[in-house]
Amino acid sequence: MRIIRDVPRRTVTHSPLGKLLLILLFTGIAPASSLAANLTRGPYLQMGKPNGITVRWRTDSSTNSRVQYGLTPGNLDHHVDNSSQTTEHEIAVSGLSSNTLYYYSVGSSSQVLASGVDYKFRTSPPAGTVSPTRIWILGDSGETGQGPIDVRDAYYDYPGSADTDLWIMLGDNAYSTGTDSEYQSVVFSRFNAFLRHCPLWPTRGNHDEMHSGSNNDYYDFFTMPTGGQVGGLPSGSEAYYSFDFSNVHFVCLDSEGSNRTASGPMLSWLELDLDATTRPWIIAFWHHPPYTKGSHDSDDSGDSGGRMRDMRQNALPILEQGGVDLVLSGHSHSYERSMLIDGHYGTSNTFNSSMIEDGGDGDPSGDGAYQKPNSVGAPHKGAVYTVAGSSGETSGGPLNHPVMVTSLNVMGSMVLDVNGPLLNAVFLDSNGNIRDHFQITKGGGTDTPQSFNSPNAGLSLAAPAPNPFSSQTSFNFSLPTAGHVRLVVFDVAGRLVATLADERKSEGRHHVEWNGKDSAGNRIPPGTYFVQLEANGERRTQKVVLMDAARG
Amino acid sequence: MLTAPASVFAHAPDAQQIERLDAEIRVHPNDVDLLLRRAGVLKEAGRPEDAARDYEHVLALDPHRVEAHLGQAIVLLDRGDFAAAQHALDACPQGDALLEAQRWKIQSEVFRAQHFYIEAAKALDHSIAINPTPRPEDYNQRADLAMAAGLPEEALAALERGIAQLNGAVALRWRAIDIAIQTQLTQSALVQLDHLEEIMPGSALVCARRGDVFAACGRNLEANAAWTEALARIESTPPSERSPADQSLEERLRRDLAMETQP
Repeated sequence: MRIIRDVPRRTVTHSPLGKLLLILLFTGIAPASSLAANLTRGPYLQMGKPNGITVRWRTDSSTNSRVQYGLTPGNLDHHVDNSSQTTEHEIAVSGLSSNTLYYYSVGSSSQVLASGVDYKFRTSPPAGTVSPTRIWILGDSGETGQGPIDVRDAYYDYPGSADTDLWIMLGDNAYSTGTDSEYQSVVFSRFNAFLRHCPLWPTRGNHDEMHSGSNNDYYDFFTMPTGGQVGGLPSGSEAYYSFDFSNVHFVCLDSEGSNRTASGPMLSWLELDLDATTRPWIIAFWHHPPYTKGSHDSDDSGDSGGRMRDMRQNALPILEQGGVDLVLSGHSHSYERSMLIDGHYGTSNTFNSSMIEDGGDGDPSGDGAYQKPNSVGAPHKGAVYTVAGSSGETSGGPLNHPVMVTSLNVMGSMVLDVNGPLLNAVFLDSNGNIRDHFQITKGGGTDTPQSFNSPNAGLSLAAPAPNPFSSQTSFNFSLPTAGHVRLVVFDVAGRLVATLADERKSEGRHHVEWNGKDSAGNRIPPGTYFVQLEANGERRTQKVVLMDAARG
Repeated sequence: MLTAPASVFAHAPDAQQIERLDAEIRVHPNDVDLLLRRAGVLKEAGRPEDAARDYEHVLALDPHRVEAHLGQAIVLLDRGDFAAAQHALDACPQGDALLEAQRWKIQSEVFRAQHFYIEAAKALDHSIAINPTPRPEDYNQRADLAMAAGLPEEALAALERGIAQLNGAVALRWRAIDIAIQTQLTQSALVQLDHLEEIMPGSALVCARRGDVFAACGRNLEANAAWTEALARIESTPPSERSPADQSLEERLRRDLAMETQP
């Protein structure tokens, strides 16, 4: 978190007029804010939390910094300033209301550089409450060419992408060495529209190398919570950190440059951090996978300097003791996804049936979701391990690691939806097809607990009744104020199945029935579906199970 | 300067990367960036002698290239040739702040490898002081050097500096407690535990650790009380809200308390 520098060391080429203005600036004749600057990066969002967010951007000349914000794009009635002259702008906005949509602009005290309806963010839900959470995962996406753009666009077209709560980059975010210009091209320009409304949480890969000088490497580009500002305990390092969102505790580790021994600072911190969390879901991510037979081989201790072995042998026992549910990594340019396993810390030839908690495919339409015993993380009850390093290209490999139930040499990204006791994950290929699907449930879960909804919100969507159903079920919901309401049904892959309401409704209680048919009037296949209520920028979700009509 | 296409050799395992870099370097034999990159991959792949040759080649082309001097020093240090490593460091021109910090860190390693702990500590202090982004690992290593020199108070002071500099990094606090227990600097350990209690309120783990501190200096009654309190904290937490670590801690505490109450 190398924040605003008084005198950036980056060389900037100035026009004759610019040079004159600079002379005036440094002689104190003209105020800096009178200079017209151009936006060259961002804005992009970092460290989203219930009461604040960090906004960053870059300009081609030094100015002071201002973020204006408000509840509508036309009324940005609050602002935060920093008077330092800089090209690397970073403003922490605080004192916000949780789970609230804000619009913002960036610029200086004399100039607005970017504003409009697309410049917005939603603050995180209140600490400790439960809210449906959408997460997008990209691994090794930093390649040039059309492939990674197709991966991006496939997700942009995927249902719910506009409401993504956060996204994660699994390292090797910009090839080939993570220079400023490479990051500019394949991160900040490529994802410009997404970065401005969705906070990014990155980890570092082996190609995100350190560069000397200022403002030109991974740690300069991003702002990470080294002090536990977003939940979790202070790591003191930008390389590894943790944060909370809704009922999920996220842990980012650094498999590239930090000490990976069990007694080193990173894993000591991890042990304490996992002890301190009370979030029921724990998702960890880093770059080098503990299990892979893709373009890298986790059995080969000479591959990648032994980093895959180190993480498997040293980090996994702590994570599994701490109740981790899902581990995300990249590095191999493939998609590999394990069954629910525990206690496998050796090479692949040491894997045996005692390490399998659930050997099925985790697919609700296949062997069924993986079940974990209760709503809070329990030690050694199994985790799913994924390699999702094919967002930039594929590189093949034998793809035969025995812990994996799915191994694909296919480009794509992962999409996670965490809804109360249900974690739903898909691998979305670059053509928009779902190529893998699994779920983890906690508490035995086909029932729909009330905790799916935020307990202190005025908007509510009651559990459907009956549920499961075969011919007809009903949804009751309540609106705190009159407004436009959208009530829709998604399948587990996130595809829109039916729209049950899309109209203005009055304040108070409402009742909608559903006969298990899609918008075209065709009966949909039996299975699990999600009903989502959206009103006044808020969302509530319930799960509903449709049974075969013959069994009803 | 000629440069290779951006990502021709970017993503393969070490052997393939080396092959591809070899091919690129055949086309651009004097591209120092390519040579430095190959040296890095060779070092990673366990071929330090080949890496050293690339560093030498870079220095022949550009004697002022700091990264090559530093890379060469690391290879020589790993080989155990401390005099040559020192010579490489002495010959290294001054770089920017990050490279200077790296240079002094390698200098510290060279001293440490020769068991000159005081000198190593001074070099690491300098590295930390000029590093724009020091890490917990740096302060941890600094504490290691002080402990190796038999100076636990200095180790604790180094960790304190790290805690202050790095937003209260909890791993450094935990390490400070370890050292304080080991050297019976009880008051220091208790102060660290008070800080941890602030950010982990109600933590049974922190409370149990307080018991460990008391036990280490023979204050058994207070140890017993702290462990009992830790157990009570776990028991008063609804099962659905207990952290996984609480379960194993509960077993340990019951065991320890049972031993304490045995005649």
